Amino acid sequence: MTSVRIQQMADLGDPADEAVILAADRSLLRKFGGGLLDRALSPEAIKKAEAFISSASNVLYLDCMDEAARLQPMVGLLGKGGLDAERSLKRIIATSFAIKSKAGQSGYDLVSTLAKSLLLRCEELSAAQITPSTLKIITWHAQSIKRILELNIKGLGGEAGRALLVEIDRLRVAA
Amino acid sequence: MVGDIPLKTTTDFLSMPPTILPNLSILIVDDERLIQNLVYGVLSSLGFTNITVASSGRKALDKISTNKFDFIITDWRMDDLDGIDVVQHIRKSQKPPLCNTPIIMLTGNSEAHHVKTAISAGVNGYLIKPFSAEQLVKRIRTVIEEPRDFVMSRNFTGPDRRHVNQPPPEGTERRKLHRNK
Repeated sequence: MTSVRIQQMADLGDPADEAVILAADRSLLRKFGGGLLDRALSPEAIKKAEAFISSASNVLYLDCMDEAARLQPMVGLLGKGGLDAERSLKRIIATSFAIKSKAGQSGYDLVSTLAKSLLLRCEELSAAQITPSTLKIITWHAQSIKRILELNIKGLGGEAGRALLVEIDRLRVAA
Repeated sequence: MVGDIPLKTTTDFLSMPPTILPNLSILIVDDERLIQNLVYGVLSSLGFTNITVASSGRKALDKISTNKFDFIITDWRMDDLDGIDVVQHIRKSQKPPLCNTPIIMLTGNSEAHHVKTAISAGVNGYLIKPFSAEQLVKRIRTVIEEPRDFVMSRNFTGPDRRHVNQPPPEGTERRKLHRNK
């Protein structure tokens, strides 16, 4: 049974405000405590789950390739201005976010970093703020993502990857 | 197969001795099919079988209205209703046990301000993609083994955010004295 107490939030370090505090629900702990969870979520089970993640990485990679291919025409529409650019910017944000997560999950860290950089840059913009130089930077990101995926470069991409990361930093500082 | 990700662990899983995990009901909320399948596959590999998937925030609310889940794993960015909306809807329902259902946010949103926003909305755990099975297990174990008191106040509804076994923040005694003057 859940117990309830009333407490002044002042002693929680918050501004004075009354709160109802329900005692922690320990029903899951009662059901699965006492070492049951240790046995169920054993190192072997975790190892099996990690293997599943690895086995899924190729599917995620292929999906990233599709997303990266879709990015290119979106970037093309950005330069046209107006409603097309507005819609396109939203789609680029959604796509770069998807690439960031999936590339990271499948071990393509450099692609994930580039997608994050593209995402942050686009989130700060409105379509009206697209200039030839911002368009050039966005195009550079989209093309780099596509190229790295085509070359199937996993991880941070060694020396070439480091050069790209330096370029991302340079562009961030310049912005 | 589950979607496009081969769930090759299914056959292994069927040959495993029964565990306690089928007794735990989990709701996965994600609008990205591949990620749904990935989380589903990881949980299945761990031995969880009572898993429900909602492909949008709205569908999640429908499922929550008719089923009880032991915990929820939700994405943040979704088209119709995002993960924060889902968390707030659950927390503001003010109806235990629904309002204090443990929620783990599994998202690609990786900035510090994102984490703060999610905690303020009332999540119990936050996991950034890419994630490992070990990290997910850690969050699940924390939810089960270290349940927190549940605070319902004007400005916040969710798990108690204070660090357990730590004294109150510096200055609270001084503020109390000041208020009593």
